[in-house]
Amino acid sequence: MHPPFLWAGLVRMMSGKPQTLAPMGPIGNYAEYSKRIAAEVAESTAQLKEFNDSLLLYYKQLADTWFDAQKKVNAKVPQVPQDAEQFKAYKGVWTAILDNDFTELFGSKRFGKNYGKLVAQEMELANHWNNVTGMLLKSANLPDKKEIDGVCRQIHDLKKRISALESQLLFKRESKTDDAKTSRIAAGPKGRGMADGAKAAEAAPGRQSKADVTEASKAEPKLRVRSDDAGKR
Amino acid sequence: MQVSVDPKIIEDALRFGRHVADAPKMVAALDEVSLETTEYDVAYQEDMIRLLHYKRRTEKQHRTPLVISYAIVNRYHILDIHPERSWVRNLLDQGFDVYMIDWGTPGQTDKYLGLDDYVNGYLDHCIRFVQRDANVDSVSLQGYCTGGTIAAAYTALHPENVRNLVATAPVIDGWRDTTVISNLAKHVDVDKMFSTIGNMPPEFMYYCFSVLKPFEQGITKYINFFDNIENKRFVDNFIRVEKWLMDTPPIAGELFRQWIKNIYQDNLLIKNEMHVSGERVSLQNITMPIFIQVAAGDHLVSPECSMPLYYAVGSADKAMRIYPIGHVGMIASSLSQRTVLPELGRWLRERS
Repeated sequence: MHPPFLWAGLVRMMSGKPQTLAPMGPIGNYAEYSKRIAAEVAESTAQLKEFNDSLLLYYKQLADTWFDAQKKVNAKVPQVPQDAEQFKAYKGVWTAILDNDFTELFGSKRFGKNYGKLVAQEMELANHWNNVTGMLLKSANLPDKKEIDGVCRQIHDLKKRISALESQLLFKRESKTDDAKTSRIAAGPKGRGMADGAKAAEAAPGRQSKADVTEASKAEPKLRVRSDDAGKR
Repeated sequence: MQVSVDPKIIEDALRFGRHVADAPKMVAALDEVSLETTEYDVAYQEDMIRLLHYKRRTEKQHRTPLVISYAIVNRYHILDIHPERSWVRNLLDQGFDVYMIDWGTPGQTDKYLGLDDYVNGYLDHCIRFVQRDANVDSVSLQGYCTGGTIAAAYTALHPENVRNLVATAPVIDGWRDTTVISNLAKHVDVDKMFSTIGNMPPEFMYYCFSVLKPFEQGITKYINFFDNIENKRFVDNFIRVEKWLMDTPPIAGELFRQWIKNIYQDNLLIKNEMHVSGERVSLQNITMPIFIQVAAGDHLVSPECSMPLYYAVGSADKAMRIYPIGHVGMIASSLSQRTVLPELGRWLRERS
């Protein structure tokens, strides 16, 4: 390439649209999200302080209970155990008193409230982390948690719909036969359909055992039996 | 002051140290231990759930099959954890045709599975399968722990499919529950937990277990283990239960959210105000024979939480038994083999 053309091209590129190049790749995306990521990190740091306060209270409750229980043990067993029998009795008393006092603590409202707060704050921290991860994923053009959750929800709803449709189909098919009892079982008094259960059972009289499950799977795909899962391992 | 130490204390301490050091040579690794003892077929499978059908052990079987709805916490293995302590095997030996629901392991894509999916979906499908498989109009349904909540809700919504209901330590009246679990459940923001982490991870459940009798379960239990390490029977049983305890699947997020809110926080089930898929669950609809088993020493589901079911149902034929044992002991102990299961078998036999 002739040198003047190279420089002209470079100058044009530098003065022309540098800002349009940035959002094209992951680095550009990251640059765009970096400010929000910084905000998330700052918020999570503030959240971490609250979490640590609750965590401190959590350990304080445990430590206080421990010391109080130990005092009770000392009051009940004033002497250092000297023989094996005494030592065994001491262990029994120690375990009973500590278990009792800690169970009382764990069952108390004050512990429950702080524990609930601690878990909620942990979830908040996790949310901040999820948000940061989400932005990193987005910068790489990958789906974030919200989008994946949406897909999971759709899969769940679709499974339900298929189940209901299969049930309706089965009901229609069985309505044609004159088997009232079978129809009642298949359609069911309530409920959302039965999918493969009834269909598998339709073929069930000759249900196979461990020995011939592979054959069973081939012959009746609706009877979903896997040879590696069946029978005693 | 002169302090003399009993030589036996020193001897015990040395023996204990020796047992700790020798433990890896004397005890099988957890992954070498199988938790399944009784043979079964996988009769039906849907998504992650499996319906297990146990092989008969008697010539004659009672007409009505029994479907066991295991809890949504931990796995079904505890009901068949050891040949001598197997709930399932005992019932098979009494001539019952036993099916068990393995709820499986929900993944993150299953986080939206809720009570409707479990009650009107999976459980309903399993029961309909059994109706056809065994050629019966209705089945006996047993629910254990949270499986008891699901079984009670199902029976209230589909009473014609259930001939007998057996509720074993069911979680029913959350406000009366005096356990530590209930206290924690009342104070957690489940909506926030669900929206943030989706499914309830096993670690959360392990935390809940760890605050139940922390010293007996966290220290004394392991000291006993090392003290008894030469006792093969003791060790075998200990390892099986430990493996079972450490194998907790996550709980589907929406199911957990609804369960905590409906049972522990708002207590809707016992008030007949719980709704599943828009339909009100009225325990008064439970009019078939019902057998309620309660463990007096239950520190996971207190007796006060389970017993109100007896008074809330519409059944005329109802019975409640209270056993001097704990939550797990009621289903997997020598007492359960000696007392709990024979009583259940007698009651069920007359109605099957």
